Amino acid sequence: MSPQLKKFNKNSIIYFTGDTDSNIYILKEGQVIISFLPPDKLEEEAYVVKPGEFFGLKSAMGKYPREETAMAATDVVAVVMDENEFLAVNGKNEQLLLKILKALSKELRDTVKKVNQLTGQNEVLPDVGLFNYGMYYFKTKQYKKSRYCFNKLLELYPDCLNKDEALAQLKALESLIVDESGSEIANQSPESVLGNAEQFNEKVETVKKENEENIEQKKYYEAVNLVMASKLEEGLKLFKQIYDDSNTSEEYKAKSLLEMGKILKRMKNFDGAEKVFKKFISDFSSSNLIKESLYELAETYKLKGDTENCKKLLAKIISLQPTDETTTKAKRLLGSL
Amino acid sequence: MGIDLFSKFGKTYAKGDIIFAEYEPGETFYLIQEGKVKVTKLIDGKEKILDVFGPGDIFGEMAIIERKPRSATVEALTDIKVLEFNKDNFTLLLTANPAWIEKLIRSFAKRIYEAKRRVKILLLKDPELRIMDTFCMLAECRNNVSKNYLDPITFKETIDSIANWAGLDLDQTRRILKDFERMNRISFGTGEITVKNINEFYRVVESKIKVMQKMGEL
Repeated sequence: MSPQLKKFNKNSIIYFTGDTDSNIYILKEGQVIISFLPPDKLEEEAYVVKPGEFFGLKSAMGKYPREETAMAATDVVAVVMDENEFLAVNGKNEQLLLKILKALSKELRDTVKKVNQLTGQNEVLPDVGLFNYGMYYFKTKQYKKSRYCFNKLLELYPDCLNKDEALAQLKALESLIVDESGSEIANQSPESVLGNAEQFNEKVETVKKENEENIEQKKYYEAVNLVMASKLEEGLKLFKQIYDDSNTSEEYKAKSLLEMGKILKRMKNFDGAEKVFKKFISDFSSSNLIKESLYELAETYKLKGDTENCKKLLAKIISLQPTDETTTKAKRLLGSL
Repeated sequence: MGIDLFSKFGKTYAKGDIIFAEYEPGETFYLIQEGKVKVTKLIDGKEKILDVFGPGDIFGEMAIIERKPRSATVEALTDIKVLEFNKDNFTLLLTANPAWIEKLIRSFAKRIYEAKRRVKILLLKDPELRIMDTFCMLAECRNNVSKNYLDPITFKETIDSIANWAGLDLDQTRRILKDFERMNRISFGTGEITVKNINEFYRVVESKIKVMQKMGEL
């Protein structure tokens, strides 16, 4: 196909949202209305395309379904072409391409801003992220890359929290990287080994700690799987084992305790569940699972027939910031009482 | 062009060099002239390769859009030659070669779509819906997959990458995906997840969104 002139009658649809064709249109005569539902809005928005302007370009070039509907507002004449034809005609017109790029840049910037607002809280701080990279490369013996990350970290964030550790790592790296090709030393001199003894002990500690984390994580999911397979007794046992183990991290202790309470509740051992949830609330008051545990306790009260305590607790959950799923659940449960 | 541009904006890196690391502030973007790079990210303490780029490819282009930390690490797989651009000189450089503008247009068009879809996903409060909609988005990004696609679709994704797209933590994502597996909605392979019936996910997401719109929860 080569570029074609096409006519569309007034009120006819040129393409629908969700269509997967890859035509690009240049409007010659008439007006076209483009309507779309912004991702964060309830109502459609629309704009008008005038003669000389393009439409349908973004989804054709990005190779994804149409996100807008194009309708002829009047009788319309348009040039229709595919992306290859478009590039054959306009591929050397850098002014036009730059104009398109500029428009896309603006739209991308605005959309990315929205994404950042929605994900903002979960992001790792850049200095922590860089430090983790340095440690990862160190551990995997990619010493030159490790050095790159620690150097960058200290250059960009000279006063970061991990400053001392980063400096120590860099010192250790000095003796590990001998030449610019980055190969490691085959035989270390006794001095360098001595000089780095402390460093290596630390390294061993780090590795050990990570192994422990892996073990507890593995066990934890083993227990989760047991519960999902309705093997409640066995799941409870394993969670208790993780919780009682003195090597378990606080994070997994908290998680396991909460799961124990939930299992007891499922087993209709409400007194037992109440005890466990109360222990959770007093021992892990700053945990991010605190709201969930309060809600579990409220449900336990309800199941026990203790409506008064249940209501009190739900009111407390609803008053806690931020408003999240648990808030909604609590409101719903309160309404049903 | 070649020689002239390279003398002004060219840079070389040796095999194994980092061009930039994730979390570093991004101010420059690159066009590969010779050699290959790999794009990696540390996910759950392990290095995952996201992409490999070769001659003519562009990377780091989000630097034109925002001054934010890099979202991945780029490392030279071979000795490489690149052109380094920044926000101030890229127009000048691009004018010399419209094919690069075309590459950027394609990249930005795709990223706009992804970012918009991501907003839609992140506005869903129910984590299960977020994960279902993530799969719908991934299906849309493949060419020619319509909503009525009935065969199972296999995605080269992991629990980590799904968690990342859906803006959920790993534990929660794992639990939900395991639930889906138990209900026979998905199955796991090495480095891939197969959705049995993407159409079902679409129907669930769309009907829930309609309900939420009516209740004004969105």
